[in-house]
Amino acid sequence: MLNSVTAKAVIDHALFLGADFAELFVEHHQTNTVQIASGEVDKVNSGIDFGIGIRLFFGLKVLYGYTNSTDEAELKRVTSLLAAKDKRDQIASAGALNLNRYPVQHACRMPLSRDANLDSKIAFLLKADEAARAESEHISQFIGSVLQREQQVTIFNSEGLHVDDTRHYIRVAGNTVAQKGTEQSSGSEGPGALSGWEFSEQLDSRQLGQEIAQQALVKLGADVCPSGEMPVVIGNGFGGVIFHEACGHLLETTSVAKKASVFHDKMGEVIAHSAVSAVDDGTMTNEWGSIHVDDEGMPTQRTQLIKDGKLTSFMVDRMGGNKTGYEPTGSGRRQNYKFAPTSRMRNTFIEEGEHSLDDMLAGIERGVYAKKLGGGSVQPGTGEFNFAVREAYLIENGKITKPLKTATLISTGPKVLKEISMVGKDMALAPGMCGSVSGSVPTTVGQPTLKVDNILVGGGN
Amino acid sequence: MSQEQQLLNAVDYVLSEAKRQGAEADVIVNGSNSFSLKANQGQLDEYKVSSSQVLGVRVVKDARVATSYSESLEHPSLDLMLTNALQSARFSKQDEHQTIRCVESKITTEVAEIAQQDSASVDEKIELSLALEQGVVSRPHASSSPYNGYGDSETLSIIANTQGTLCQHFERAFHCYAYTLFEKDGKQSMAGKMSLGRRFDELDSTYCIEEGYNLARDLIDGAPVATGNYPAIFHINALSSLFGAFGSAFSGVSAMKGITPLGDKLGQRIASDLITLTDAAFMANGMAIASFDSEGFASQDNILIANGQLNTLLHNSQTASYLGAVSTASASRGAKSSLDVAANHRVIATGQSSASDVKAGEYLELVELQGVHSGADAVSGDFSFGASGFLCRDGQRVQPVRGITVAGNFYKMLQEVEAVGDTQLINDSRTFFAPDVRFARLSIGGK
Repeated sequence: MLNSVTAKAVIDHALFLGADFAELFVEHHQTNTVQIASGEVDKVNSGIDFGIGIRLFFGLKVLYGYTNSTDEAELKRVTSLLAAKDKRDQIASAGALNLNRYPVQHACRMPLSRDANLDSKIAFLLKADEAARAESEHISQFIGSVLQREQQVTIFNSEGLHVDDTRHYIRVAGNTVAQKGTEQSSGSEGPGALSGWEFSEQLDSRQLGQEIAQQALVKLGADVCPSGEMPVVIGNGFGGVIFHEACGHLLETTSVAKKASVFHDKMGEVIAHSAVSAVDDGTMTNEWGSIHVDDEGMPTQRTQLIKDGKLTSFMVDRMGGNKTGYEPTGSGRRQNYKFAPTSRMRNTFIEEGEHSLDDMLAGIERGVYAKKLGGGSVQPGTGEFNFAVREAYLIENGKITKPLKTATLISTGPKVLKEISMVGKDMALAPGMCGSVSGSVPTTVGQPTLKVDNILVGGGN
Repeated sequence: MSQEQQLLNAVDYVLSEAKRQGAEADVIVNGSNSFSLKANQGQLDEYKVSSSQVLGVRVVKDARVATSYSESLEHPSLDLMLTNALQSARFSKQDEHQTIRCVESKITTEVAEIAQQDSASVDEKIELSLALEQGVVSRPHASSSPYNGYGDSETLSIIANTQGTLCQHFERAFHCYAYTLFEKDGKQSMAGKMSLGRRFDELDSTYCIEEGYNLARDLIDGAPVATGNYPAIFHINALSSLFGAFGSAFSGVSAMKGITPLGDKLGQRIASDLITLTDAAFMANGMAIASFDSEGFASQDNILIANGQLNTLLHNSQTASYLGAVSTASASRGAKSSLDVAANHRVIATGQSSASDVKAGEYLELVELQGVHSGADAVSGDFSFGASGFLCRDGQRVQPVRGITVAGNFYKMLQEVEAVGDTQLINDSRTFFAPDVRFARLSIGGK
């Protein structure tokens, strides 16, 4: 990594060039992936990323550079290059670097740096493969992988901050293909945690294989999903991607500061149905989207975004705070040293309500039960979002009647938040990767099952 | 020592170490420098300078394969990388099809067009960046340009192996883009365009500003059309996204794993006879030009679909060996990834229909697709995306359309082509070339 003497020298150099603020983000990132396909080990990949990101503030302008070198002269050269157009007399002085210590909340018993545990991972995946294929002769392929990462970061800044953090990530992914005649369908799941390989002790490999197989099988011969506006019941867990896309991105100061969010001037106002309360929480123990400190070195926190339908907070990074006046919420995140941090989500979910699935189905004459959702995207300026339905069923006269093929749900954030009329009591979280201007970061989405009174379903009929 | 020499030294070191440890290997090493700018409210918002390198190795020992990479080129880091790869390989299946096959290939991409000097000053680049944003916000009802930027990069790639192959590729690229957030009467619409080039002065900022602005303006009053089936023509960028989402359908790797329905369709009719689809290594103004693939074989043009008939999938040496096919020199491997396949430029051949024939009667012009990465199932071919565009009649836009979904099945759609235009178009990324293609019917979800 980088020693604090060199870091201090580079920061002093940045301030000498007139920067208001300087920060170094040092990253050493080890990865290992093993994948099986057709019942055999298909790929084993590993690697080490290492680099240093240098961020300077001149007023509200962000200057960012990175290099793979720890050499002081090279770091100063990049810093000088960044400041070349903004160089001025020194106006700030750097504080002494003090190592901040914090309790380790997200413990890891089986880190990658100790052992990649390839034997155990391969055995786990082969069990899942066997269980998936045992579900039906129509399961023609199972591709499973385990991705483990260990990201060590050290962050220094001109206010005297010196923080070390290690993030351990583990993710298991499984995909099945079912085939009947010329028709093919697929199923997938991807549980993960901010943890080491001990996460596998919480997983049942056979159950995982069976679930993924059933997702693919249920779509074989399924009817085409209807199209048009209708009520939709969205399942718990990854169903929370609806909030992530419909609202979460619009509450990041990344878009709020540019007034590129439809919610930028709605603080304190009612923006959702009163049944909706939502949280972005980085503190949840070992959850995929959790962190000890954000990528600016600030301790994470639990941020209440919406309470009973009223907007109560944005997600704020340091520069977002400078631009909007809101206090940072420990939400500054980035994929790696190649990106300047911006405000990003962590574990974001709609809090539990009091309804059951039967309550929600009862009033629906014809609609869709979107049991599992896939990914989605949003256009922050307009709030228009979309997301894919991975497993769907038709609702007729208050009952779930038959499986349906792929569909997409689209709407706008402000509209759908007011259409959520019932919230269940079966909250669950699900991991995903979220892409935005500071790269792809691990985030968790979540929600209880909920009912949207009216949303456009894009099926094939 | 130059960056090139540093990279070559690292390559030599890794290959000789791999050999010494009884393995065959190939390495991919990339060194790149980039510069980018973003503007907000008349000021530079972000100024980014970077320099990076990465070396990735693929080892084959006892017919077992593994890959590893390092961003540090110091010998201890390269030793660790190699050790990790060799240890990992012990867990892999024995694979007689994946070997280091490319022997004594010495190719250097020598296309002057892609390696032109950067003669623009930093001040000129800053001026362009600021002008992009100002060009947007100075227009009526353009409340902001939330996404805009300028960037350039230069990349040196070296591919070498223990069979004496050493290939080199250098290229320089420039880009700029601008989005318009258009607001009127409480409604918002956003659209943007991008320009790419091989020289700074090739960038077309006016295109980014005006085309993005005009599209956002024209869509502001967009509303859903009635749910039903419509003939459709995709804008070239949208058509490129659609074909990109189903790119794995033509992959030999997918066929090897049994996850593309095209795997057993060679020689069969899979599309309308109006469709001829080629993977082209060299296209004038293309941004995916390369003289060799990621194994070091000379790039070539590959006709994937000839008048509706599946001619070949994309193959590297492994998939060709496994499937008993002829390699198409389509190996694709990043320094951080395993061996795969990829197309260079995808080209749909022009047809015989004039613009008035293709655009006769009523149809939907789909200019933007949303959720393409998540709404496409390459295995089944089913897709469902959010979309916006225009309801058109006889080539005239009669109504802006927003808040609709477009759904269908890619494989079925390929067979339901009504007309192919006679004029070649190119997408903003300059990797996809196609005329207007009119599809007979797509399911539209609307009001």
